[in-house]
Amino acid sequence: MSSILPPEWVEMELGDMSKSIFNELPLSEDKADLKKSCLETACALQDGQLLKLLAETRDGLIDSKLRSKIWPQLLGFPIDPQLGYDFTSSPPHKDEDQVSKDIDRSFVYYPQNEARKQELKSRLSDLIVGVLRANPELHYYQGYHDIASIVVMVFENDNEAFQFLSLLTQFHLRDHMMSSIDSSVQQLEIIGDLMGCIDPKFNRVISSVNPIYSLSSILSLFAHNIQSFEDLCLIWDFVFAEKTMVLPLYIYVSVLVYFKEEILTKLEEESGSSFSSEDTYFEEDDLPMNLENNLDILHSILTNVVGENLGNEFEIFQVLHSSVEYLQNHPPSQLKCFQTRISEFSVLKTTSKPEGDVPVSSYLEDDRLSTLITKQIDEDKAKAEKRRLQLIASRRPRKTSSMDNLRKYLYDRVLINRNRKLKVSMFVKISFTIGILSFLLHYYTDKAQFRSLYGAGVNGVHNMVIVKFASFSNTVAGINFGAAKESVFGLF
Amino acid sequence: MSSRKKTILKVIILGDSGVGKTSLMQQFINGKFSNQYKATIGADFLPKDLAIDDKQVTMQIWDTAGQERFQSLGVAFYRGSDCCVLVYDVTNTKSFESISSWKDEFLVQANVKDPDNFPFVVIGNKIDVEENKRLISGKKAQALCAQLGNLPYFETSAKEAVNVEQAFDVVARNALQQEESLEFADDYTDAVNIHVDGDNGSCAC
Ligand SMILES: Nc1nc2c(ncn2[C@@H]2O[C@H](COP(=O)(O)OP(=O)(O)OP(=O)(O)O)[C@@H](O)[C@H]2O)c(=O)[nH]1
Ligand SMILES: [Mg+2]
Repeated sequence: MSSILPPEWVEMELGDMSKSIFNELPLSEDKADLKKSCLETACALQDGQLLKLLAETRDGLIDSKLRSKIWPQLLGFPIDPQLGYDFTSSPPHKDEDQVSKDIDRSFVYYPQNEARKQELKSRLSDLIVGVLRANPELHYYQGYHDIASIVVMVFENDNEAFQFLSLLTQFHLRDHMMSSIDSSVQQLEIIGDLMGCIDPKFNRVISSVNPIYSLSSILSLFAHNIQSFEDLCLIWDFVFAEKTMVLPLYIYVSVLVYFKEEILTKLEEESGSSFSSEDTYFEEDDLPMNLENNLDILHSILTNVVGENLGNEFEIFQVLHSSVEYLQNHPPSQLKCFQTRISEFSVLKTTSKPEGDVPVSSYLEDDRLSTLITKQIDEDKAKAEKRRLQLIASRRPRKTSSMDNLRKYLYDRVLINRNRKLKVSMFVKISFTIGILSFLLHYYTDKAQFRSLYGAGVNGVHNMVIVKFASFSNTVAGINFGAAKESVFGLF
Repeated sequence: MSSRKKTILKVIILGDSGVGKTSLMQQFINGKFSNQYKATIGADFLPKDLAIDDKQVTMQIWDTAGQERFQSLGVAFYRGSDCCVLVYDVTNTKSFESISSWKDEFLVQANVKDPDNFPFVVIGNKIDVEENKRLISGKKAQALCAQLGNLPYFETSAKEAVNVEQAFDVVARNALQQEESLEFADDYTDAVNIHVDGDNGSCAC
């Protein structure tokens, strides 16, 4: 490295200029060269602060060669290119079948060159199988192969790729590799909580659907969804610079905020209802009118927003910058679900927490990391067992009377009508009418019954039917009223 | 006055990972096959407009993830579906054996009101493979479908576009029937609403 600069020079340059130079679009060739030499210098000096600063400016860490050196440094991973790995002697991992199915379907967007693709697939297989066999207690998930695909592309040296992915898995991804998907899903709840801090009104819309719309992006660190290798690497530069897997969740929120107008417009177009004007979705406590009928559409829009909208480098940069800002202004420790829902052994609270105070090296000493992982797995197993028992209990068929069913059915209908307040009020009025009618009917049939004691047989049967009907409509009216009054009582 | 909404038929495709759910959906919707579809994570749908006899409908076809760990997420998607397609791979015995548990899981998670009459369609995919790779015979599959409640059964190739149209035609018809049977229940409330629409101006309360 001929271009190592004296440290004073670098720091002065960066202190004064990094923001202005490296944030212009696009980075011109000579600026890119200047940045490269800054990066090499910072790398040689092991200046983490500086690397972080540079990683979060325009073009990030620039190319794969630099990334393969700097990503491990940012994350504090000790990598030894000479240290080999051999998985052929270890017993197969239970998920290797699934792995091979996914490798068949990897490298979909890039690279273009077919020969290179085949070479990468073969390396990818060894890499994933190697890491899984070294961590038999972890479960493979679809989406992990997308992450590993990026790792083989960036790290030309297989030993480095293996060590990097192993450490990334153990320190940052293991929540997704428990026996069930629950610990991943719990992470996703952060999205709603954070959106609640940033844009509570918009949150009322997006929180009407389950946050699993973000699942593929979060599980794959966006590798499943972003179609450009360069764009994806830029995102990873930020994530690794911040050293926390909470950032992808913040990035997702940032994407949603950035494309809010597009999302609402699309929702309107596809559902034929209006959501974007202030009063339609801001006034009431209930869901916006008609949104409940369009939750599927909303899910689909929110799940595709990353792949379809996040197109150009400028937008990505904006989105990434605001996600880092959100992380500073609303750290996860302030979010409710983070305190209550996330396991104390989760990566987000231990090895991948923002501003983690425990260095990687200390986790690697004295089995500290493996003890932590064991605890997390034990907890996961206990939870899974508990859930299994609950499930069995809840699925045991319960005896329900037909009256219960009718009540439930009508109650559901009323709930569905909750937003159509006026219509519901009519529903109630009609219920009253039926009630009064049936009361009169009752009165009439009482008399009729009395008469029928003396009357002809045919008449008697006829009257009995009326009696039945009368008591039925009484019940219906009662239920209607009972269910409806809670939501619409004030209207009368 | 309430305008009649366009009929949406919600269809869910289930089955083990790799049986060809995404490929079948793409073949039906876009009329093509590529061996470059990504593995599916989570779930998403694609719409397709079609006419069943004279009725215009939009079929909303949900492609889901097959890996077992994603199975519990169905609660979020299955609700309100009109038909469920169960797919297995004729070259993969395990995928065939999973069919009935996919069916059960669907019924529980979709919270289907009348499980005995909910429409399912079973598809054995990849029949383009050489004869000696095929592990599940049509007869065996027919027997299972009979046992599961006389479910319609189709053998397809998403790769060579064999029988895909036909299978989805039955899916669409059964879904429409299901949707119409549910609408019957809705009509009661609709009738009430239509009646009262006219005079609600005065009761703004
Ligand atoms: N020969 C043959 N291969 C097929 C056919 N359909 C799908 N495949 C292949 O089977 C593999 C899996 O297909 P997908 O459509 O991705 O399977 P999937 O069911 O969506 O899988 P998940 O998304 O993992 O749940 C791919 O490599 C396809 O190319 C077919 O009809 N014939
Ligand atoms: Mg798929």
